[in-house]
Amino acid sequence: MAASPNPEVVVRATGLTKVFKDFWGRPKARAVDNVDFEIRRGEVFGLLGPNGSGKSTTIKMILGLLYPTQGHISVFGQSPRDVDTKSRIGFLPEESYLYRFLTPGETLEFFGSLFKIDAAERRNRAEQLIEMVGLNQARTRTVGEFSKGMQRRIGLAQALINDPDLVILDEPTAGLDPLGCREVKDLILALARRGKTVILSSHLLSDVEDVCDRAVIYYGGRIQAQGTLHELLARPDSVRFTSPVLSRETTEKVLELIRAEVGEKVRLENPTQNLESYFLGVVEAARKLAETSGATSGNRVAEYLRGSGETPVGQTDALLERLTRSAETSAPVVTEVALPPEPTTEERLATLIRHDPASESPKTGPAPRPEAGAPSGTPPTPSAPAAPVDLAKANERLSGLLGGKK
Amino acid sequence: MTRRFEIYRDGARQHLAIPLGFSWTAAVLDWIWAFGLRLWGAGLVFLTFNLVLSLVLYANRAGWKSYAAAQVVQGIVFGFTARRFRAMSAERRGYAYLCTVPGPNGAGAIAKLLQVGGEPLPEWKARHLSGVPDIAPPRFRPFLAVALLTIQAAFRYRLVVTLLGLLLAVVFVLPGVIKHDGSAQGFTQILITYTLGVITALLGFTTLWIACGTLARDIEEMQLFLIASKPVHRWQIWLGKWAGIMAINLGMLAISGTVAYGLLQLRTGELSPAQQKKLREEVLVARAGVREPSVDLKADIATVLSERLKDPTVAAMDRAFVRKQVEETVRARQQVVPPGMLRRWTVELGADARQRLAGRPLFIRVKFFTVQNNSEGSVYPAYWEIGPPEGRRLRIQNSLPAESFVEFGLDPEATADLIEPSGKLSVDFQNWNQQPLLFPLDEGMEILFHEGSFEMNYARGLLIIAFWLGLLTAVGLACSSFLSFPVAAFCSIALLILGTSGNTLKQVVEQGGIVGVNSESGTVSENSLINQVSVAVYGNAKRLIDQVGGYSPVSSLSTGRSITWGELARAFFVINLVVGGAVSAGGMIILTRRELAAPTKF
Repeated sequence: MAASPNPEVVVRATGLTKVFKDFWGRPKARAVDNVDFEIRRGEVFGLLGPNGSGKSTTIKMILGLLYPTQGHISVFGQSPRDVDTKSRIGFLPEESYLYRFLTPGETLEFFGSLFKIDAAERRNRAEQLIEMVGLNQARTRTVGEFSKGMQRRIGLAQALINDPDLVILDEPTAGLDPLGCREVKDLILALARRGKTVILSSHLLSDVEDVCDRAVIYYGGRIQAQGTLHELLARPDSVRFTSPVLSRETTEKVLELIRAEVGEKVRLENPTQNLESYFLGVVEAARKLAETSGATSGNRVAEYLRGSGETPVGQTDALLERLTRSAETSAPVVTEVALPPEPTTEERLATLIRHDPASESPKTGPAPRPEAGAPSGTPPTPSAPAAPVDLAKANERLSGLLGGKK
Repeated sequence: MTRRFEIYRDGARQHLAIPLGFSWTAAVLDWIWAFGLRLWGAGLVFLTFNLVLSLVLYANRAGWKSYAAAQVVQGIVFGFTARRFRAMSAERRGYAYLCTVPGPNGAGAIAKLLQVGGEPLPEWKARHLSGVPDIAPPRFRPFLAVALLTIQAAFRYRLVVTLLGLLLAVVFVLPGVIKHDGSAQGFTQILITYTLGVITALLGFTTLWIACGTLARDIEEMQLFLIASKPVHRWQIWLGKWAGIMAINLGMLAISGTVAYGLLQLRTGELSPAQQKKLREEVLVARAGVREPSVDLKADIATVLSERLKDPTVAAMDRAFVRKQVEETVRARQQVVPPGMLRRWTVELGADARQRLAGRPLFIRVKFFTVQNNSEGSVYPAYWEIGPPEGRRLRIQNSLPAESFVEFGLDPEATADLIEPSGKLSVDFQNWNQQPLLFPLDEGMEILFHEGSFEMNYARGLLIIAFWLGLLTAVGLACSSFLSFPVAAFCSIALLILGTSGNTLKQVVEQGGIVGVNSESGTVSENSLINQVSVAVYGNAKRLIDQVGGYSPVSSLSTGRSITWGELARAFFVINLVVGGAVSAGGMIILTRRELAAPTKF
């Protein structure tokens, strides 16, 4: 097996082809056709495409559950079938393939054992994950009694039990309520900030748009488009300005100036927040008034996923501080009813075009990754040195950032 | 008195207090304590441990002091482990450890926690009952996890309870429904042969069903898809499933076997004293069997053949046919006892046999055939002289039926005198009938003598049944490694039926095929390709089945025949290592190479 020449490359596919054959060995379907791509460390990589376009087949080949008919695929420089390599991978399949007779704790205990994690650490992680995915109230129920959304939550927990370096999420938000979707997206962002690589396959374009750095678009088993979201979505022939409400006179003047240069091709409107932001605000307000026996939300990311439980205090502080600083500069803040308006997609695109994250205000859109906007192939930019902050405050902010309870 | 309690809390904020330290209740009541607290796993472990320990002690004729010592040791072990079982059970039911609080009792400790707002003080955080520790090295954890999951599934889907209920119903109901005839043989037939036979059959079919279901269903429902994406070798998954099923089988076999044994002992009183004595001496023992050393007939055959071939008429005949005729003639000389003639068998019982077997009964087990068809109820007079040819001999005259095994015992007091100092025993038979009697070389005459206790023999017999179940588990898993559940179940059950139809296979091989069989001669009239293939396939299948099927513990146990440790080891080697190993290796290789996420091919 050829080793990866670049340690930053987590997954490399070259001429990857998968042909499904019938019982007699005759070709039946070419699910993936001569696909090339690279996924780098710390990236959130999106796989987009309609049903049957080859996304899931690609994921199954990355996991070593299907073998390429032609071409080559490597994960961490090794064959996907290498068992040791799998200890660095977490996988959430598109449907719940969990044992229906197990409780959440037993499910995590089982999958933890497969990763050879010590008993005490398994229990510790299981506790944190159950808390994180909001199934604390459903500990005694078996997975078979869960709703689809709850099954997705425990499925997500099992994918993270080993603190993986590569997280593969196949339709992670399918079946989740908007709250759960937001939490999953926040979790993906948090994982990416820790240098984890995330592969996200989804039909929901907004999911991919919110969290992914790069994406490929499949159709008919072939990659039709590939690149950073900036590269894919940029519209260099138009510009958007956003400002506080202006007086009529000022507005007229501005419009006049613009029309003088570009003619009548100008649109003026009040930006609206998107439905997801509005919904989250309403539910957050309601949650303060009533309890639920189903899945809860807004729980903190498991401590070990935020940083090793054995991480020295100084490192933990630095991590929290770094995350908090990211929150202050670019991360989404969606916790209260009185939300600032959410920028529209075009506004986000405009922001991407500007390349000036510091000028974004208010911050309600997805946080740009360190390498967002960087040319393809550039490794993620390391974080800046940590500045000292109050740990309690940092923790609270992190909790808020990741949907935590106040 | 202040004790310490571990406090657990569930999602509904309900608290549970488990005291730390030694549990006297568990030490004294063991499995009753466990079942009382609905600790089913612990209860089954304790109960099985009790039953097996009792069987071992009984088998070794242990006295009450040994029982008492074993109970004390067992009580100490249970007393110290009981709290851990409770902690594990609590965690399984969704409780999470919170803290360890001192208090007069459980309620007091919980109240103390609630007094401080339900959040434990820092000094209460240390944990003592840390659940199940990792007893296995990390490399075995995935294998053990899969095995435990298989066991857990069997419990959760009520399979264990249902199967145990069925087995116990068989053990209790069968002997109650089918009445024995009051003889030791009839009693044995029902209490051992039928009961163990049905237990084996029930466990065998269930094993195949579970083995096919657990793997094929996991593949079809994609759970294996998820497991295989973790760092676990597929052979570990396969082997883990095998181990899980076998753990269930061993538990079921131990419980049902022990209960069957208990019933056997309890119901012995139903027999008359004479039949009880017969039962104790001939069935509830472990008797070894010795036959006359096999005679090498090759030299005799060669001599006779060369003599015959001197005749030009014979020399012109087919050489193979002549040789077969000569072989049968020579063999007949060894087997046939003509009217008025005597046949002597000399068996080696071992140099120390005189001392070892003094005061114990010897048994002669014979089977013979007559020239004429044996009509029902016909018996043939037999005259026996047993003992040193030149010394004092025991003379017995009896009448025996043909074509079936017959046993008769010798006076235990005479045993030492009958055996020569070298350990030889001579048995003479005089044929007083008007027709020759044929005693087959391989099963014509056998001397049986006491070798060990029935209980250990019984335990070894159950182990051989477990070996069989191990092979069936491997067959089921191997089939489901590449077939869907219904097809795998059908194939493996078909294999099981094929395995029990040795006579059909033998018949096909003897008649030379399956197409164009002449009803008069009983052989095929044409040597077609189909016949050649069928003979090859059936012949190899028969050889394999003969290899594996030679180990039948039920018939040995019901005739009081010893299953030696050597036989046990050979059975394990042949059934589990050779045949089971080949099947398992095939299954594991197929599963490892299989594309688990590939769509089903039609």
